[in-house]
Amino acid sequence: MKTIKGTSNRYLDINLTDSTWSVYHVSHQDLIDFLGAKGIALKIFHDRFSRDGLKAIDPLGPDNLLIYSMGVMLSTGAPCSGRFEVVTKSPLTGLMVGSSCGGYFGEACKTAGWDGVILSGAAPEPTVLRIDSGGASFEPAGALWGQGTHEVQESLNLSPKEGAAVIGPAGENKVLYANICSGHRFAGRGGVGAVMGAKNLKAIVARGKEITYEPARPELFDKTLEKSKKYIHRNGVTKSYRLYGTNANVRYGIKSGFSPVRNFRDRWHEETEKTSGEAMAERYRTRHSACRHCSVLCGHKGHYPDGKIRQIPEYETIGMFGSNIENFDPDKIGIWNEEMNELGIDTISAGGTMAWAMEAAEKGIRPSELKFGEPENISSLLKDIAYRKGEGAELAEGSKKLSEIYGGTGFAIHVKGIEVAAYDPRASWGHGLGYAVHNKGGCHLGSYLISLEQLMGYMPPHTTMGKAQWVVFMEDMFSAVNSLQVCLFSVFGIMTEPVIPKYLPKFVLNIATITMPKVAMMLMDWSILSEYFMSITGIPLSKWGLIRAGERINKLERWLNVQMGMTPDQDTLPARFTEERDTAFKGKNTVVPVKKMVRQYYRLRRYDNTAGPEDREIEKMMKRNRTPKQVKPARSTIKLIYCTTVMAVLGWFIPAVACRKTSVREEVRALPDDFKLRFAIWPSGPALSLMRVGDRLKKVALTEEEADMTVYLKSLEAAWLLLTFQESTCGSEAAGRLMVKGDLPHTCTFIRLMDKVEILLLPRFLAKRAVKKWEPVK
Amino acid sequence: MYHRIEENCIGCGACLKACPVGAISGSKKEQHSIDGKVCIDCGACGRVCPAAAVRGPGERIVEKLKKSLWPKPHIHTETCYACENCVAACPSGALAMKDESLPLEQNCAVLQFPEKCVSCGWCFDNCQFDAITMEALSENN
Repeated sequence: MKTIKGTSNRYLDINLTDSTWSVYHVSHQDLIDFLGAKGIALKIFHDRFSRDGLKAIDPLGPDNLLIYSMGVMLSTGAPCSGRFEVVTKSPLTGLMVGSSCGGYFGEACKTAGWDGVILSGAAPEPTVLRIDSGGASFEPAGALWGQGTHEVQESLNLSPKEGAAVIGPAGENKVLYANICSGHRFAGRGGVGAVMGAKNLKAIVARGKEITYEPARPELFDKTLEKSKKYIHRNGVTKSYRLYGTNANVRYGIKSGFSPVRNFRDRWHEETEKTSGEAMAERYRTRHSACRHCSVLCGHKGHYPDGKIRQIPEYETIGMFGSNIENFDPDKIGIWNEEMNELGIDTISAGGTMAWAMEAAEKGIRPSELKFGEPENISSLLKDIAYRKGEGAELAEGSKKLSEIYGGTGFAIHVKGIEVAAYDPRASWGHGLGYAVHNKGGCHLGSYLISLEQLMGYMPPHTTMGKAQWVVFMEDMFSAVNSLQVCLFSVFGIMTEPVIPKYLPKFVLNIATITMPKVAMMLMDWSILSEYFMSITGIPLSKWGLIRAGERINKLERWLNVQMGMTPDQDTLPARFTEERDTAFKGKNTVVPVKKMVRQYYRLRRYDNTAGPEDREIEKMMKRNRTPKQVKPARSTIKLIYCTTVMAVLGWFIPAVACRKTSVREEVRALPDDFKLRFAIWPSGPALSLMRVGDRLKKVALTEEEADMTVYLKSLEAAWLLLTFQESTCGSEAAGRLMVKGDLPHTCTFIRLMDKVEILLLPRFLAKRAVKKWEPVK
Repeated sequence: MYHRIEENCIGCGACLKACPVGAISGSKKEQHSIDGKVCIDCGACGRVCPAAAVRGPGERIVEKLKKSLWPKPHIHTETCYACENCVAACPSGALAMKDESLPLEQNCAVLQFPEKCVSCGWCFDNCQFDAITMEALSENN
């Protein structure tokens, strides 16, 4: 069996128009900068389109790319790592969208040897794409076209080694919020299914188990794995999600007033309790139904009164099809959820659009069959949406487009075109800012600050202090997490379970998070995530390095959005959250001061008046590490003294090492007898001369003419970089800072010799910076 | 990756019956072959082969082993969280949940049909809670 260390870095680049494929190799530097899954997919978008090209992409046209991206964590067996990301230009928003999914397709594709699949063009007829380790093949979809998501997976007759990503009728009919399904999990938001449908692609089937992956540093990986399992298991959020799923949030919503009620008009309703996770767990005798490799176990299924076993809807579905349309019968939501899953519709956007239609009908703006509290026709309307029939044809466009046609934008609860998930931001201001500025639009998982503000209680919710800092931080964190691809729900455990945040009194954290956000962030610990990346790929990464990578990914996505036509006025919340204070909620009624927080956010992100990063910043990002540091020759007495001292020490140390260490002696033996070697700083810096005498090296005094080989450092500044160990000897050579007079093989011997000397002379942490690869010298 | 049948196959058909996914084809007294697309690398064919004619993906001939000595999943009920991932992963349908009427926290996975188990280890690979160990039971057990 073929085993790959780290990750394969190979993407299958498929053109559906002419049914051809090639291999796209991700460069090592891209992996360092963008970590994987989401980051790499965005980088591909950046590389493949010109600035005008990005704007001109028709989301449902053949020039849009649909990228399935796997990340380094998949198939390592780490907890909550069975996820992959789907990235494309969204038809709902016209901006970038990334949606994460926990189905088996990801693992199958990864173990077939592909880190991702890039789909371009559009197939001329409905197609099924098959992927294995040898590449891709194309089949006509035939009778599969038109089938539901689970039906088609049955019809495909998948073997245990195969995983599929499919769309339902909604995707085929390009409903703007259609999703992609794999197993019983979904890449839900932003209409990724419509893009797949527009490409005439019904299903992608990957056959895996051909290739195994092993971490580059297995010991570190095992240690990290053990630690993260421990943290995830004992975390409070894990415990409640494990018992009640994400519906554990319903009771928090009732208590603190973030339940969506009647198109987010009221924040509270007395009957919401009927749809709580606790009530449903009892009613349906719930069972786990999780993603592979999951430790959190938020997914549940249950025994419904009609005898069928169904998936229990997630909190967002419960909210959007429960209190938000004034329906408090969980049986109905379960049935609709099953229908929507089969049709391939995003439940949040469908619920949001229906609630808008209900309110619009109530206000007489737009006639509709829909009415709050009357759920009889919802089932048939869902089908109409998927097949774009009757009123469904209009509802398939989402609330933004409808409100632009009919009016009623003030109560169209969307940001940038994506309907807001079932958390009312008036109960949690930071979460509101998260909605407003998230690149994808009104998705709750951009920064998910409500987890800190309400669910875990680490931060006072009704203040603007520190919120922008935390949104920036959590966005960077989640961008990085979506690029490694672990589940976001595991991050709470990883971040808050280490000793300091766990045992620090909550009131201290409450003060620290808003008054000293940076300090509070330092108290938390997410080094597990960077250690995962480091142990799997072997690329060094610190915990703040991970956040910086997340920042790069987030800013790149923002820049792409700006090129695609995003404007600063889109970074806002619907008027309902910023103007309508009074609700039925008995607690604190507020509106979200979103403008102030967005201003703070821009300042922290250093966004200019385009609402995105400056071009210069993106250019710099793309060139990072590609050009070595530039130095100017200058004269500094301190540097001269330092370099002279180090050269003197080396002059004493190299001969001493050469007679004691066998491997160094062997290097010396490679030189000819009486070979004279000189190492100097040009033009008139200190010099060090050595001569081979027998098997030893002897320090001698030589002029340039007498030496057989002279290695020059081109300037004092270059010497400073090398001798302060900011750069390795080979790095110096690669950057053109070394100048050699003499034979090349002897130069290589000299570089190896220097590496060994540095390993012996320096403490390990310094030596690791100074040499290409640290290994003990015999 | 997949197992292969070598030329010394005697065509007895033992592997044909043992394969849990129907990857093997061939007629009596002729060399059988394994469809690599379907094979799940459980190695059951090799363990029942009287002619030692099956080569695993690691290029080693799979040794014959008495069925009662095949390693089987031992599920530790106290650490099992009833996530059902092992049941979903099992390619031969040997695992099932203990009792659907039990409360969620008390339920666990069990080896319901030990005779179906082919020792592929997929349940072991898919368990996030270290609740499964592969153990060869002696005949007395």
